[in-house]
Amino acid sequence: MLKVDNLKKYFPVERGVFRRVVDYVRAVDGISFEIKKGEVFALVGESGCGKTTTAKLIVGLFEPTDGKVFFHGKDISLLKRKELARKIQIIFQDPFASLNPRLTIGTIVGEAVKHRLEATDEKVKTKKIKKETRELLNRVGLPVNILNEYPHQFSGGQRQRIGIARALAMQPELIVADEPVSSLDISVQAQILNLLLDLRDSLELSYLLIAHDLNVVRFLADRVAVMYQGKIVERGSIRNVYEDPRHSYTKKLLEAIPTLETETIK
Amino acid sequence: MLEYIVRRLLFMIPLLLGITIITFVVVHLSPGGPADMLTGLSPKVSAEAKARLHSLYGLDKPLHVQYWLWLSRLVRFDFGRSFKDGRLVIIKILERLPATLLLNVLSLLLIFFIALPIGIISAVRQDSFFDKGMTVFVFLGFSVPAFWLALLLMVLFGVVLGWLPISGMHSVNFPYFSFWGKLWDIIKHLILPVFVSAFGGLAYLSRYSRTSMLEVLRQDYIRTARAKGLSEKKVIYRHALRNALIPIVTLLGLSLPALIGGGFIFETIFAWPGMGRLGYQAIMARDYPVIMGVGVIAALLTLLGNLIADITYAFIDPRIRYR
Repeated sequence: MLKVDNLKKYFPVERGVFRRVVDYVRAVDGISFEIKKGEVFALVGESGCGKTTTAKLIVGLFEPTDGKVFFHGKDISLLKRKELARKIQIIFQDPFASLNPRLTIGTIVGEAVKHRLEATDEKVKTKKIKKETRELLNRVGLPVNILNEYPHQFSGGQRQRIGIARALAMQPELIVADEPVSSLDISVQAQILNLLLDLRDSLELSYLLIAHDLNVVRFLADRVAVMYQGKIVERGSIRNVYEDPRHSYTKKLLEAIPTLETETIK
Repeated sequence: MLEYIVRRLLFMIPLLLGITIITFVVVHLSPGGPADMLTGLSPKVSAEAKARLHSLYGLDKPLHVQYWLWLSRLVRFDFGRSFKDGRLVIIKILERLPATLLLNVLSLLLIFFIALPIGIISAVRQDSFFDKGMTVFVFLGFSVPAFWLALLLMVLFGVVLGWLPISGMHSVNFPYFSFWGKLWDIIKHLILPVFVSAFGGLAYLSRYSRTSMLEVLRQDYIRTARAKGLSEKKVIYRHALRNALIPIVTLLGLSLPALIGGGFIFETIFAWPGMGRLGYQAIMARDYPVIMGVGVIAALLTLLGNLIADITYAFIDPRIRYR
């Protein structure tokens, strides 16, 4: 369904009075992978390895330096912003900063619904938007009577649900989840992860999961690719990578997973 | 909300008292008194004559008694009479108000309608040719003193080219003009003062709105709006602009007193018959009741302006609720 082909993103490093480009940061340096329908594909790696840049390239928030992204065989750089938004949506890491503080929940979610619905009869449309917005809120486990409330009135977990409802409003086929739970409390993380799994089954979604927490990846993903300094260094099914890591970086990552086993302190 | 407003209004009372006490003391501390000014600093005027004037104005009493008398009149909305011509202070102020309002409302409108778009376009097209050009303009606006610019423009348009009048609000033969003639006459008199008084503000507000807009454009929720697939126009005007306007509302509230207080130096240069010039003349003549009258009104407007800005905040930013 999604095919990423030799994708590159270099950021220029400028120096001096005339801002001469002296070097490039190779944030994403020639990565390729595919995601099949209904699959959860995870990109893992430490911060700064280029995971989030990859996510932004796929949803069109950045232009790639080189390489292409295909969705159902179509080059996404040829799609209009709205066309792309209807196919691929993104859930952001920080549920506090990513919701406009001056808009109501009804507007944040409803605006996306409205944007998707083509212009029809205004009255019918307004009713339809409200109805769909309520359905979306219900789907992500939020009360439906919050249309006139503002983001600051909600907790982190609730806000992330709002972010998910907002993404679902465009009825995408693929959702890029950029660290969807890393800024949430552990207790809330599990709820959001379960919600993501439920949604995948009921709406036949595919996910590109961006994460650094290998426990989250194991819970959610089918296949995983390990990124290191802009390149994919290892990939495979969850089982293969977790039980038989080949690359030394992957081994280090796996060793760093906190577990409940404790060492006796002498 | 209502409780909040009432409480804020009550807090204004001690503030106003403090402001009037300080103004009163400072005004009376400045060398020379109304008697000296009235008698033209003439050495021939005897000490007894001056003493008679002093007792006439009540200036022979101790300062705190004078303040008390002034204050007890003020609470009855009696601003007293001018020492200079014996007319009621409130009437003198009301006479000057329309001229100042006209000038400042026009200049404020000009500032907002020009500076806001400049700032927003500069932010949206950061580092473009337009943005850089505007940076130069802003630099000029900040560094050129208004009185100097006023004099230069007066020389150019008033003397060299002779297109515009250089001072006052009306021509000498104003009463003989037709309605349209009068209107055109006032417009001609307004062009220079409005432009000069708007010039500095233009620079300030355009830079301010640029910064504010840039700040908002960097926010995550703008990225969210883009991810929704909204057009860039909707992202900027619907999501970014509304948030960027919040700090600008404060500026609007703070510019309210200037709207009526008028600029002392500015109005004096253009001989504009407004509040600023009235205050300036009163200070020069040590006309205490007029100085205090202008001062009280300016202080009251400043406090009200702040309050209005705070209240508007609550309306445009849902995160703020006053208690």
